[in-house]
Amino acid sequence: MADIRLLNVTKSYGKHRVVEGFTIEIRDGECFTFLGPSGCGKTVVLRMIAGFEQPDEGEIFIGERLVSAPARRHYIPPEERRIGVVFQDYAVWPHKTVLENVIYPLTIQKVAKEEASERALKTIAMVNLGGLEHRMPFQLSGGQQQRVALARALVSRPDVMLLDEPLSNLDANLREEMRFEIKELQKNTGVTILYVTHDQEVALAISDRVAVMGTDGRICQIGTPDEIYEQPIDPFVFRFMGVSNFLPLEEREGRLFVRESAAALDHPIPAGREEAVRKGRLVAGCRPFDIKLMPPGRGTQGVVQRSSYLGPIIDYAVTVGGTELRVQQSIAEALAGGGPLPEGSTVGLHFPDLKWFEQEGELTQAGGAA
Amino acid sequence: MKKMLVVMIALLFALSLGAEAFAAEKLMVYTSMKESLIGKLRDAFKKKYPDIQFDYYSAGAGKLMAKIAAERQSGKMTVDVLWHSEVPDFYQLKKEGMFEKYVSPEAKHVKSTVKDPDGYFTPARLGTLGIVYNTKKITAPPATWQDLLDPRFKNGYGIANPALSGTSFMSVAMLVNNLGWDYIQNLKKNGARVGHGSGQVVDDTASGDLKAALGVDYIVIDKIVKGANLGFVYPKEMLVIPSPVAIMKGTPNLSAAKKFVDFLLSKEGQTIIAASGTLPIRSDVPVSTKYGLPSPDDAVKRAMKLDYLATMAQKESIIKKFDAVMRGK
Amino acid sequence: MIGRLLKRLSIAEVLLALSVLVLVVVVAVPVFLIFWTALFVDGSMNIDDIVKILSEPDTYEALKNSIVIAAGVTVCSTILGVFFAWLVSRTDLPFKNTMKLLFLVPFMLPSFIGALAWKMLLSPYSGYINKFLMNTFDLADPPFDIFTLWGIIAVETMYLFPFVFIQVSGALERMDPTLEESARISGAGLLTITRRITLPLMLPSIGAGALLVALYSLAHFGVPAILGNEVGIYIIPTKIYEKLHQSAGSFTAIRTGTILASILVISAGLILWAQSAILKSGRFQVIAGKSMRPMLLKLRGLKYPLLLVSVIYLAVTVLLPTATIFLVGGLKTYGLELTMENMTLDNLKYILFEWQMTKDSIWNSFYLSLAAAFVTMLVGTLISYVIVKMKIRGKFILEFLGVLPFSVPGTVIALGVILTWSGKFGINIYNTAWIIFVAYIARYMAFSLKSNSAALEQVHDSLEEAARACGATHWQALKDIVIPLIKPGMVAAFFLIFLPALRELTTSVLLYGPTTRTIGVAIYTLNEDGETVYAATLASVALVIIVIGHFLIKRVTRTSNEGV
Repeated sequence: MADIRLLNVTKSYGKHRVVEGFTIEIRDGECFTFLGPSGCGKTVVLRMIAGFEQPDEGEIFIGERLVSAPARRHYIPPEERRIGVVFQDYAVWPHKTVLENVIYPLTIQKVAKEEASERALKTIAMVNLGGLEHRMPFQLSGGQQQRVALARALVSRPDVMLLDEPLSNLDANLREEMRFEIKELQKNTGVTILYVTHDQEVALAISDRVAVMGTDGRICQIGTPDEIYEQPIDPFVFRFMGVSNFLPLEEREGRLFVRESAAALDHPIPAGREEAVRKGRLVAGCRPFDIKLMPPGRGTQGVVQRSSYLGPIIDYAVTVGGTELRVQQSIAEALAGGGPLPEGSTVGLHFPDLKWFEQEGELTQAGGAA
Repeated sequence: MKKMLVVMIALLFALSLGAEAFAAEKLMVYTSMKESLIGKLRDAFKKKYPDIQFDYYSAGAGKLMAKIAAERQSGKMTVDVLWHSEVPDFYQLKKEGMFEKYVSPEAKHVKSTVKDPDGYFTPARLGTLGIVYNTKKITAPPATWQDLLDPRFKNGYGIANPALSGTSFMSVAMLVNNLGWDYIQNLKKNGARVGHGSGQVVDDTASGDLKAALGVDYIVIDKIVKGANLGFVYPKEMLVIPSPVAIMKGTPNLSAAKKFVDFLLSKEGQTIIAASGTLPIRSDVPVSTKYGLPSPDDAVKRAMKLDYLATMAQKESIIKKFDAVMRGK
Repeated sequence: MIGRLLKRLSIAEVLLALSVLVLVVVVAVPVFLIFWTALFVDGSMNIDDIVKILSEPDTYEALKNSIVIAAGVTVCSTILGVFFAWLVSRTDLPFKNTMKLLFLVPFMLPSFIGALAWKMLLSPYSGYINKFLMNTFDLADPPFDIFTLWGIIAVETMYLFPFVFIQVSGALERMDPTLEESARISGAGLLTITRRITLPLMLPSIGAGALLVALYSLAHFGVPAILGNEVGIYIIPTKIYEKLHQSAGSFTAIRTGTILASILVISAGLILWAQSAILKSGRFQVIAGKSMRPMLLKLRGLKYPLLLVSVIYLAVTVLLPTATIFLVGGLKTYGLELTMENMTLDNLKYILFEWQMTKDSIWNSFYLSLAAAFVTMLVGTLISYVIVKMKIRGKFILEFLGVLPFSVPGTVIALGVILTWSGKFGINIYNTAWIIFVAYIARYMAFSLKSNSAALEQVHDSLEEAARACGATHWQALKDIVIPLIKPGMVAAFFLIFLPALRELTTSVLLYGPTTRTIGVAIYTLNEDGETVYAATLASVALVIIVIGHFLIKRVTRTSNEGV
């Protein structure tokens, strides 16, 4: 097992700089996730760790081994990095049976025949494919193919496993099932996992730590899933972790108002944010469920624009001083308050759990909901 | 394993491409003689000299000369012995120093209208051209050259392209020399056409595309033997064209080349030539008279006269003028 | 072992260098030398001379004929191809699927053999059809003359129209039927729909097929040589042939050849450029990827008459010429009636077992095609791999060079290899089989690249990367994963080269030496030398070989596809 370290890694394609000065340490035995929107460079980083791409600058270590150092013209090819890789499109070889796929790494390592097939069969059983050893890939479902890929990556007991969006081609149920299995496998084998995804649910569910990457290839925040969810460092991270509302704020007579409107917030100016408020850069963020609906006249006043019934919850769009907010209320709560609010009605809003951000430049103001 | 096998097979084939380079003694003859004549000579020659790898390239004289010119430019000569009927070419190549001097011990028996006193080339066959006609279309065979101007032959007489065929060029030169350009112009007026090679005009006559054509003896006789509806006649003034043979200078296969020339001029070689329906150059070889072939002596006597050296200088202008007359509107 | 040795070098660079080297040596240098010889005399550019050569009557005529023939063939092939494609994919014509296969049969018949057959059928006085008509209706003059521009256009059309047919019938079947249906719902009649919806949607496919026909007929040697040379109708490739073979190979002749060849290359380049522009145009998008069930026109009373027309068309263009070749090939001598007592098997015996030249030609064609197909397939795989799969600096050079083989006609390749391999660079393989071999590689590289890159594009990068991650070296990944996966593409490439090379004429006719005639050249020269019967006999042997070859391909490609 091994840790992974990237020091000041830079990579460009032509004029497009994908990552710059990228530094990160992935600890031995942890499940670490790169979470970011598509095109943010997370896959490129994974491919550089795997050795499919070479960085332009910087150094990459797997364990104590320096695997890429372009400045010293040092480069260890993928096959010598002792890694396992699982791809988004499974990459199960269509001309080989399940067993032939899984045993291949051992054949390459010249493991004795009997030991090799024993280990391969064991790994196949571990990913719950026992009995399908002699199927051809086209006879398998997507989920089963991905298990073959997992088994193939695990069979040679690599130091690290690199998973590139392995679940995104699966349907929702299968995805949920597989992510628990991956977690389980990691617990059993203790392998270091680097997982790349744009799906925050998966990231939160399986990771020990998450690195959220911005569109410019920079790391916005690193932390445990809890830290990332509860203490997002900026609006981008906050928005990335789920449906989110943003309220741009300003101060008038010592109180907080939604910017350029009469809608007042029943919240004191948070400590340490006075400067930002004065400069008109304070933004408050909240999740749809973290807004309490009250009768008109209390709290901040808003108008219901739309209400949709989504089974156990009701989803409202409410405008507050020109900003549209997504508000969600459980059915029970709605019934207790006299049924769903009709469109066009005025409503009072209370924000018990606001996250404070300082806006840099223009915040994309598409209603704040992401 | 399987892949190795495939690679091996491929290598073998690749080697076979180069294999011809390793044969012992080789000989390459460029000739305008058709397979029906040169093929029999090859068989006999190979029987006599089994160690010599004998190959030939058979094409019209024009093509042969173009090929030789291209080979001279590329610097890689394939031809060892040249044998065709366009006599001026031999004078030309001799002048350019392309021939090896060789007087065969058999040369003293040669009877011909042409002789190179310096011994650079020797006639090896007397080609004759007559009028070949389709027996279904022409019932009364023509007797003289003038008969071809008859309306009977309107739009139906063909001459092989002199730019392609050596015999055809020689014939045109002789006809012009003896009957004048008027004759060619009158032929054109009667709708005569320029065909392709000397073989094709005969086939065109056999098939009925032409009613008659200027035909080379052994080509016509070969087809008649096979049953074609063809007749063949010689007017009194004959077109007799010797086909000289010469050895190319600098050939690496000189001894084989000499053997071939000797064989060609020998009684044995000439007998094969006579049997193919053309005239031998030796009087001691009997001529098959079955198809109206004259004896060599008779042919030489009846032959139209031609100044070969002068013709060499006029070659291009004759071909151009002929082309202009025949293709003109 | 070699793998381990090469591992020490950067594999990517070795492969790139090798690929570039092959393309430069085999294609780029010959083409470059053609342009160079055309443009420069004694080291200085000479445009006046080019203009002079081009305005000479015979070169000017050749250019004009080329354009007339290419245009004529393109128009006729397009009309025929579109009509038959429409008939088999958009009507309720009986036996549609059989007919669809039958319309591809003209592809199998080499067009120069077709030309040979039509010459026997429609020569003014000796053609069997002409003779029959003249006798039956007591005509003084033959009704047909095949030795005309129209004759050449007609014969080429017969054997080139499948290009349009394939493109258009494929597109018609892939076209999204909802486009037509929505037009129908809005009340348009079928003819209106065809005119306003279907036809415009098909235009890119029609255009692509038509341009392919134009390209082929422009570069084609066989038909115009057999039907035109005799009566002085030349086009660019036959003029180049005449210049090289009949004008004593002088420098002026070669230079004229290179100027004409340059024109060919440029035209071919323009045609290919136009084709890719058409195919890229957005209108192609409306064609769905999947096969769908299109609307069929009810032919009603015309059903059987149209079937009859199609069958007669195929009988006249395929069966009749083939039968003619076989019958004439069995004649004792040319010009005899086609009756049993005039038939003999001696010709066959003679050309198969006795005549060195024809025996050689069959063997030459066989091993040259086999070797060229094998080598071109392997080299094409290598080059396609570098182009499709590798990320390496300098790849754009290869991408540029990779386009070249597509736009270089056979005549040009032949002329180019003569200029390159006649001792100019120390290697002289003129007059040997090697020069034909080299030319075949250049000529068929495009086929190999096309087939191999299509196969490689199907193989996702991740399949190879997965192998690398599993510990396989680059070579092992190639050997265990990539090669097995593209094997069907490689096999297809092999046969795509082997079969056409077996019947090749355009290139080898300029390159053959005394002992290196190919089947195509042998048939052509036999015809030229007036050995019409032997030409037909050899042509029938060639046809038998081709049919067996196609049959074998079907078998082999089917089993190799089942393997994966």
